[in-house]
Amino acid sequence: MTKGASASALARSVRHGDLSALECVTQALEALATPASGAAVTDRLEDSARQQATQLDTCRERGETLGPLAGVPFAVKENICTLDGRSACGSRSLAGHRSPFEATAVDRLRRAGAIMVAKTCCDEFGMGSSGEHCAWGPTTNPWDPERVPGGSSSGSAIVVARGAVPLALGSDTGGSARQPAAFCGLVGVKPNYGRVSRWGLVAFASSLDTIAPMTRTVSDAALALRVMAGHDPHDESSSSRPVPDFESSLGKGVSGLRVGLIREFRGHDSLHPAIAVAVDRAARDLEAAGAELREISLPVASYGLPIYYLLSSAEASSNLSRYDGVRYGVRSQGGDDLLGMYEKTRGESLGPEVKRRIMLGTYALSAGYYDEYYGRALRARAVLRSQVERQHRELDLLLCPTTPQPAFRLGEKTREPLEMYEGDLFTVLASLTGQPALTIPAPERVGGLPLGVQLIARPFDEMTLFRAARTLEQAGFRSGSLEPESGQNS
Amino acid sequence: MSEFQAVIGLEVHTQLKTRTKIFCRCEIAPGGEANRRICPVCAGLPGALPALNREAVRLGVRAALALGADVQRESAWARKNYFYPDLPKGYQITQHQQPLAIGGAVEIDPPEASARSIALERLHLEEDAGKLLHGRSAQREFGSGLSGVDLNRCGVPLAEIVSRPEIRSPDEAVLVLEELRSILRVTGVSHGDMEQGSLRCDANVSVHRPGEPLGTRVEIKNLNSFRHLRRALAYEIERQSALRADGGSVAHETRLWDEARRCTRAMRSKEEEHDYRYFPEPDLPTLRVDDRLLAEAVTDMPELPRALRERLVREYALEKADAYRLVLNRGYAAFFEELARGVNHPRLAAKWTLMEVTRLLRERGEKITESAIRPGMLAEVLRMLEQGVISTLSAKRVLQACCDGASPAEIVDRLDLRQITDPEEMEALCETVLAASPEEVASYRAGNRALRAHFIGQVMRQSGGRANPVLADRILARQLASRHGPSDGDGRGTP
Repeated sequence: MTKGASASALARSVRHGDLSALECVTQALEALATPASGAAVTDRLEDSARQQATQLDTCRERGETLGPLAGVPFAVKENICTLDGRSACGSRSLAGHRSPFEATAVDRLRRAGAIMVAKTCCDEFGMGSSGEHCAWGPTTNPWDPERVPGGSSSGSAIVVARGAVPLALGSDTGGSARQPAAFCGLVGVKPNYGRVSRWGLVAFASSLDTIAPMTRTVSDAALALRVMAGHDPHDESSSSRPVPDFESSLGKGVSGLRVGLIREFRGHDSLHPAIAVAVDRAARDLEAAGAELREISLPVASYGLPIYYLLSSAEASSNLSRYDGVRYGVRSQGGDDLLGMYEKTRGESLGPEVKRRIMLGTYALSAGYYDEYYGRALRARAVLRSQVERQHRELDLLLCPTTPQPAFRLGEKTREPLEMYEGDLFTVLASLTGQPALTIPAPERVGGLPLGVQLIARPFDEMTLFRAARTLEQAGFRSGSLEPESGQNS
Repeated sequence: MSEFQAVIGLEVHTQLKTRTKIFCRCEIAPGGEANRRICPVCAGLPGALPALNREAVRLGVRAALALGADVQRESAWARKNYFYPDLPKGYQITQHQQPLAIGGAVEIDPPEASARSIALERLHLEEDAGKLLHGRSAQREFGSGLSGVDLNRCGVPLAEIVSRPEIRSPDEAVLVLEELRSILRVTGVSHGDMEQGSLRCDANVSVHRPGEPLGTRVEIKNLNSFRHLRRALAYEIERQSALRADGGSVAHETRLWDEARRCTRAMRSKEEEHDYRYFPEPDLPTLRVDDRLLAEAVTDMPELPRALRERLVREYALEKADAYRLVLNRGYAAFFEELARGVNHPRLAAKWTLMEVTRLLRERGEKITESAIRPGMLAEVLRMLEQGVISTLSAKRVLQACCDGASPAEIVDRLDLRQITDPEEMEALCETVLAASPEEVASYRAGNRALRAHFIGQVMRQSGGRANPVLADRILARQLASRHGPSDGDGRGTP
C-alpha cells in the first residue's frame, strides 16, 4: 500500500525495485478517482502518467540510474503550466487552456523521476484564501466537510492531506500554499522569492509569486525543493545562488540557533487560543532542543496586509490584462465593437474576487493615486524589509502562527472580503520580504481541525528552516492521519 | 509665416538591428506569414516571462554614446498598461522613470543655414507591439471579412529617442531626423528605414509669439516619411497659427497625419488620453550597464556624420553642400573617399558621385554598396577626363558602359571615344562643319555670335562626342574669322 507513504520512501522502494513506478502511479490515480479527492482534481492524467511510469520501470530494468524522486506521483496546481493536462488557473477565462510549454519546476521534478498524476483546482488565478473562488466550484476540508480547505492552493492541499500523493505543488503569493497546508495539516514551504523559477507559473503578483511544495513530511518538502530550485535563464528573477543539499543537513538540530517569537503576532487579538498554545509549544520544543528563544517586537509587521493587498492587486491588474479573449481562452460573443468585446469577455469570464482585485489594483496605479497608494506601499515594503533584516542580525529564525484561526466554514467569509484578507496577516510578512517560510502542523487539533505553526528564516536560508521544522516534527509536530474517506465528498 | 514661432520636438522610434527579439529568442525578419515568428513570451501566453536580449542593450548604449548621451549605469524597466489587440500582454515593457540614457544632442549643420545643436531628452529601450491586419492583407492570412492580429513584430527591440522642443521649423525637423537616421545607420544600430518601419517618428508642435510663454502642444502621429513629417508640421503650424490669430485656442490633443487629405485630424483629446498606469516591471531586474558592455558598445565606433562632413570639407576641399549630401548616405561617402584617392580633383569626383553615380544607380535600381559601379572604375574614367583623353560626354558614356563589366580603357577603345586633340584632325573636322552650313556662317559673320555654340555642337556631333570642345572652339573661332574660310565654297575643306 503506497497511500500515505512519503515521497522519499516511495522513491527508495522504486529505485530498489521493491515497487514499480506503475504500481505507485496506479494507486495514486485510483486514490485521486475517489469522490473525496476527485473534487480537488481538475485533470487526472491517467494516460501520460501510466506511460511515464512504464518508461521509468523499463529504465530501471535496464539498470539505468533513477532520479531522487523516481516513481513518485505528484499533483500540480492548475495555475502552473504543464504539457500534460489543462492549466486553466481556476478561471473560466482559461477554461480548457493547454499550455504549449512546461513550468521549469515541474520539468525538474519530472527529470528527477517524479510523475505528474493530476492538476488540482485553486482559487481563480491564486486569489482567495478558501478555495471558494474557483470557477469549478468550492472544495471542502478533508478534516471537516463543512469547512474550507484554505486557498488558493486548495486542491493540492486536499490531495496530499488525503494521502493520494505525497507531494503537490502549490503557489504561494501571500500565503496561498502555507495557509491551506495549515488548514489541512501539511508541511508547506514558501521558498525564498527567486529560489524556484517562476517560468510556467501563471502570474498573479510577479514580485511575490513563488512555487511551493506541499507535503506531509519535512524531508519530502526539502527533497522536492532541492530538485526544483536553482537558476533558470527563463526567469530573470530566479537566483543563481547555489542550492544546498537540504536533506543531508536535516538532522543537525537547532542547537545554538536564535529564534525570535513575534510578539505582535503571538498576542494578536484575532488569534485562536489553541494556535497560541501551539506556537508556545513550538517555542518550548525548540528551546528544549537547544535553541535560544527571544520575544521580539516588530510593530511594522501589522502594516503587512495593506501593503500586500495594494502591491499584489496592482501587479495583478496588469498581469491579468492579457485575458481579453483576443488570442486564447474564452471570448464572449456579442460585443458591438472592440471595447464591447473586451468588456463582455472580461465581465463574463473573470470571477468577482478577481474583478475586485483588478479594480483595487487599477485604482492604486492610476494617475493621481499612484503616490498615495502604490508608491507608498512600495516604500512601506522597503521599510518592512529593512526592519525584518535588522531583526535577523541577531536572529536565525522567526516563529509565529501561520493563520489566526483554523479552517473556517464554507461561505463564512465570502461576503466580507476584508475578513478573508485578514486571515493572511501572518503569511504576507515573508511574502513581502521575500524570505523563506514554512508551516508545520501542530500536534494538537482543535475541534478536529489541524493548526499550523510558521517559521521564517533569513533570505535564502531554507536550510535552517528545514532543520528547525525537522526538530519540531520529531517533537510531535505532525498531523495524525485522516481516517480513510473521512469527511465527505464535496 | 506670420507672427508665430513654431516649437517642435520629435519622438523617434528606431528598430534595433538584433537577430532576435528583445525578451525572447524569436528571430526577427520582415514579411513572411503572420504569427509564425512567435513564442509563448512574445505572444503573451500565461506563465511566460521575459528574458532580456543583451545585444539590444548593447545597441541602445551604442546609439546613446554616438548621440553624446549620458548612459545610465542603472536603469529600470516599467510596464505601460493599455488594452489593444496588438498588445498581447495588455502592457508594453518599456522604460519610464529611469531610461537607459539621458541627454545628448543631434547636431545639424545644413549648407544653407547655420549649425545648430538640438538637445535630446532621453533614450530608452522598449518592445514593439504587433500589427493589426485589415482588408486584403487580412484576407490572405485569416479569411475574408475578418481583421486579424499578426504578432510577428511583438517584442522587436526599439530605442525611443526623444528630443527637447528646440526645433523651429519643418525643414529643421527633417534635418534632425536625417542626421539621427544617419547616426543610427552608420553605427550599425538600426536599418533606419522609414518605409520598412524601422524608423518611426511622432512630433510635438506648438506655436507662440516670440517672448511669450510656449503654446499648447499637439502631438502628431503617423509621420511615416520625411515628406509626411515636413508636410504635417507645416500644416499643423499653419493651423495653430491661424487659430491663434483669430483669437482661438489650440486644444491639447493627439492628431493623426492624413497623407491622402494632406491634413491632420484629431485622434483623441487630453481627456481621452490613456492613463498608462506605469509601474516597475517586476519580472526584470534593474538593468545594469557594466564596463564590459560599455566597451563592447564602443567597439569599432565609426566616424560620426558631423565629423565626417567636416573632414570631407577640410581634406578634399569639398563644398559644404556636397559633403552634406555625401554623408547623408554613408555608402556614398565611402564610395567618394575611395574614388578621391585615385583622382586629382576630388571636387569633381564628388559631383560625379552625387550626379552620375546617383543617376545610374537609380536607373539600375541598385544600392551603392552593392552596385557594379566601383570607385576604381570611375577613378579611371575621371583620370582620362582630367588628362583630356575623353570628353565629359564620352566619360558619361564610358561609365554607363562599364557597369556591365568591361574596363573603361577597353570601352574607350571599343567605342573609339578617344578625344580628338590633334590640331590638324580638328582643323579638318571644323572645316567640314562650316562648309556644310554656309547660311549659318554668313549669319555669324553678319554678327550673330550666338551661333558659335551651334558650330561647337555640330563639331561634337560629327565627332561622336570625341572632339575636345575647348580646342574645337579655338579653331572654329579662327576659321570663322579667316577670309579664306570654307564659306568661299571652293571645297578645300572636304576631306
